[in-house]
Amino acid sequence: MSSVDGIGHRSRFLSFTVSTLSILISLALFALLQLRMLNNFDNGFFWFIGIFLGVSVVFFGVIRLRNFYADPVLVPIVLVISSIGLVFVTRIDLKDDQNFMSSSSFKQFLAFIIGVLLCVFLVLVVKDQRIFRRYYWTSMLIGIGLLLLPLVPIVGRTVQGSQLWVNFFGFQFQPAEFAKIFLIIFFAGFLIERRDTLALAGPRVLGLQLPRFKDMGPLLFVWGISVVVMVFERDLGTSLLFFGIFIAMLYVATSKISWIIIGLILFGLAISVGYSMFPHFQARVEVWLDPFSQILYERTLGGSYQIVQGLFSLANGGISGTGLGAGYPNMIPFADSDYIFAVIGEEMGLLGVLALLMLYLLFSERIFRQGLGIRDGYGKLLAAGIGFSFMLQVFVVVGGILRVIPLTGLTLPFVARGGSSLIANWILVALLIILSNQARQPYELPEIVNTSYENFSPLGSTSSYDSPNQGISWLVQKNDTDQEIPVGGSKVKDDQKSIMESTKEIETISDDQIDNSVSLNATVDHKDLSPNTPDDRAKPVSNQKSSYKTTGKSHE
Amino acid sequence: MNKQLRRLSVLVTLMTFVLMGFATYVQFIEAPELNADPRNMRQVYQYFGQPRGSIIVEGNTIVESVPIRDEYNWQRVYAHGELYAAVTGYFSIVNGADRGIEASQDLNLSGDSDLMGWDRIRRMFFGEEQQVGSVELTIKSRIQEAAYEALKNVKGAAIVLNPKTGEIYAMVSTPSYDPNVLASHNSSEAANSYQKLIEDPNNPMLNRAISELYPPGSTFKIIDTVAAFATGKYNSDSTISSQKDYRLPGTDVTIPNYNNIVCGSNGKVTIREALELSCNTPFAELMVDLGQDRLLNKASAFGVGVPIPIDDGTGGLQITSVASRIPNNLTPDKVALAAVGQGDVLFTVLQDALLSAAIANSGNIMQPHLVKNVYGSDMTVLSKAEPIHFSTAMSAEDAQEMTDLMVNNVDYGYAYRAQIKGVKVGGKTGTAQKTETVAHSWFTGFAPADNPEYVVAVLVENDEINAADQAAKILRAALGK
Repeated sequence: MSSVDGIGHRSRFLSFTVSTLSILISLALFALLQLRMLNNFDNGFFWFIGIFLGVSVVFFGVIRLRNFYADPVLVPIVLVISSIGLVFVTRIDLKDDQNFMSSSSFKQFLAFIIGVLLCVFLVLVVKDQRIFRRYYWTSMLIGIGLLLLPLVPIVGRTVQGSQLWVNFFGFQFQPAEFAKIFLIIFFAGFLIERRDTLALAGPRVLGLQLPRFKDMGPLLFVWGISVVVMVFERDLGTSLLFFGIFIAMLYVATSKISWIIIGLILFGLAISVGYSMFPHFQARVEVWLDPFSQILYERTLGGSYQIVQGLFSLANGGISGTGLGAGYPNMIPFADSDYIFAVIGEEMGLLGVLALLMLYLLFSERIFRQGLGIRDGYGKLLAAGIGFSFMLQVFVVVGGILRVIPLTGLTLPFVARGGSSLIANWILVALLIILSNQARQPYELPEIVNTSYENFSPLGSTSSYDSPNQGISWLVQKNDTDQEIPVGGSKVKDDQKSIMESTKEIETISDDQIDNSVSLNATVDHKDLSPNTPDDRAKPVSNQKSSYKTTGKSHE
Repeated sequence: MNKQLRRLSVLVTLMTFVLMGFATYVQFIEAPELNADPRNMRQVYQYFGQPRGSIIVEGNTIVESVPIRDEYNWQRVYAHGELYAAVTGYFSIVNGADRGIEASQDLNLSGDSDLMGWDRIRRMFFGEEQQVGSVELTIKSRIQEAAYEALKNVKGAAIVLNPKTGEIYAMVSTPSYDPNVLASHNSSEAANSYQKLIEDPNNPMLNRAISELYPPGSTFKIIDTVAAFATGKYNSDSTISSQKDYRLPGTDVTIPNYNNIVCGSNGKVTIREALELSCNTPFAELMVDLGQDRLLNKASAFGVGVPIPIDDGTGGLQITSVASRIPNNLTPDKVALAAVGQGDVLFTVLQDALLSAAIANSGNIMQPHLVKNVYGSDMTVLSKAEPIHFSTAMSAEDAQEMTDLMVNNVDYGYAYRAQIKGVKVGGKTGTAQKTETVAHSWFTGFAPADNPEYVVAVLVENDEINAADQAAKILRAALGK
């Protein structure tokens, strides 16, 4: 226990500080909003603050209790980004209605609460991300189903020319946001199974090592779905997002640049065909290239009014911004959803914009860091997919507003109005908390493994487990022993650092080993939660509950 | 897979940097261009959407910005719009801050002046609302009201000021206009109202008190008399040549007296009597004798020839009276015409008021001004107007003698209409020929004569009503009689 306290003390302190800081920043933002817009603190505001405070405390409390090792920075970043979103959604509402809890901003607040509570629930229920692994085919079906749901008559809704909403009994939501979760789970599960096949060398063209043509199936399949979304839902943004996530995860899984190139060519092909076939595509590009043309500015359908007004807003904000409540969000169409970034840029200025982008970058990098720390390839792929999905989404939205790329219309994660988006993103946060807990957990051999570890070789033997159930029970067991993890003894001074180092050592070894071992087992290994996951094989083989450092060294 | 993850994280960093670069370009480099785009109304809204300080008269707000739920947030409201229009000017989304105090105190009213520097620094750090200044005027509402009431049905102007301090108590120009119609937030409505006003043949937006020039007529004889006294050879009882008609030197043109009367007797008249009856021929002849240099020097000692600012100009576009004119290089015949306030001599109503102001303040003209105090947002006084000497028009002795003459004009002369029961009033009337048949009616004077508190100048275009009558009304209101 003493060594755990050694780790825990610092990390607990860091966690407490960062969490408190994030709550304080959020409260300060709300107070500022209230003061700037209404000039006083009313009862609604104190209710709001109370609920927010309560939810945050429960949230951080649960993470501390259940996922002791979860990254202390990840969640506070999301909380601050979310608060910025809530503040601006409310601020844009306040122009019409002087009631702090007016209907639409209240809905957003409600979605935030639901999102956080759902996140808490998942963190409490799910102990290991690997239980999702066996459901990847199910995930695929649900994900694609959700993605294509808006095309179903009766429930589908067309908003702004794009068909990406569904309506169930008066309750509207964007299924693509939920599809994102399922598809990332599907991609990770699928790729971890097939990565070796997909990495096999095919013909060499122009000095580029291509994959085998018969392995092109999955890519073509995802591409096909993307094209359907692009063409039938007229949603280039969503299409780009999912295809991008898949390509990135494919690359991480196979390490093959050629996949990226093939993917880009395929997507470019789809876009150019779409461009030549659909006028709304051409309009988007036209408006991107020359938004200030008076003709395009005045064109009612597919004109540049929104882009130009967004740029005007950003310019009006300048470096330090007009200050909260002093901008003109009502001059931009869809200021609270697609264009909330421009409103933030106007009122918080370039400095605010850079800070927000920095928060997103920090968030993504933090996710990748969990990916580096985690010991199973499935977790790494999940981290890669989630981390990249956030940043790609930010890039597509903000890039569209800033004219880096044509405007496509995605929601800014955690910020833009839209309950479904907010809830879906908080579910991903739950996944990240679970992942990061895994990644940062000290590395030990639980009792149950000790009994059978003799059959357990770092090169990966298939005979050590009889059934996947044993794997699960092992996982559960492992988590239950959290409180008694003996690591390293008291001589480990700089525990955190040594863990990171040793983890790194293990990973570098395991990465190579995995490639060998999995290819050996590729044909037989279809068991869900097989013990042959890379982390199992990378587990230190040691007779005793030895110190981390020694464990790491034993592999060298 | 860690190698790929690290590459992915580099890619994500690059993507963020691209966004940051574009954001910097849009919000910093391209921003001035975007802000200047005529389709971008934000800067306009921002300038006009700020709260704006009040204009205060004797503790009462006559102009203020009230919150309104539109894109401008604040509506400028002019209480008694027409009454104060000549003083306040107006603030419109089409023309900005235009004319009057709105223009001259723009920086203080908007909070952008140097006086408000501390407020601005505080705002930068604490993100407070723009702090605005308020401007208190020297105007006295009862006098302003009386002056407007006296002239509202004619074309004319009146100025009342304190001769000892230069404080302007009233400034009226009729017909007036309502600044509220120009302050409309409907830009086409505001533009239409403006267009209508500037196309109105009566020219209601012209400030006839300071921006229009009129021949001063007989009120110019004050300058003649002072110029004569200044030689040391004349006093009120000095007799000067008086002819029935005076032939302008070097021409065949003769000028008569008013109603063709003969002033004095035996071709002689005292200066007192000549002024009392406002005789033309004696003054014309006198000034031709004294020469144009004395005439021009005395005129410029009264402020003729220079624009006269009526605020300090630190808050924006200074309110300035146009320069009253008297040509130099006058031929003797022109000197004679100038002596009776005709020919090419042109005065503002303010200038005419300064003639009396000099007499009423021992020969010294104080700088006329409209702004009494500028207050910060917390009502601390940021700047306070102090009396400033403008010019010395005559000696104190001459001023005393002139005072007697002016009182004499009212008590016994043509200026009798300005008499007020129980108060000694000094004054001089004037009738300035505009055409053969049309003349403007003038009065300039002060009261009470023994210790003058109020100087008044009234002009009524086309003599529709008598200026001295109106001056009496205004002075009565000023004196509370």
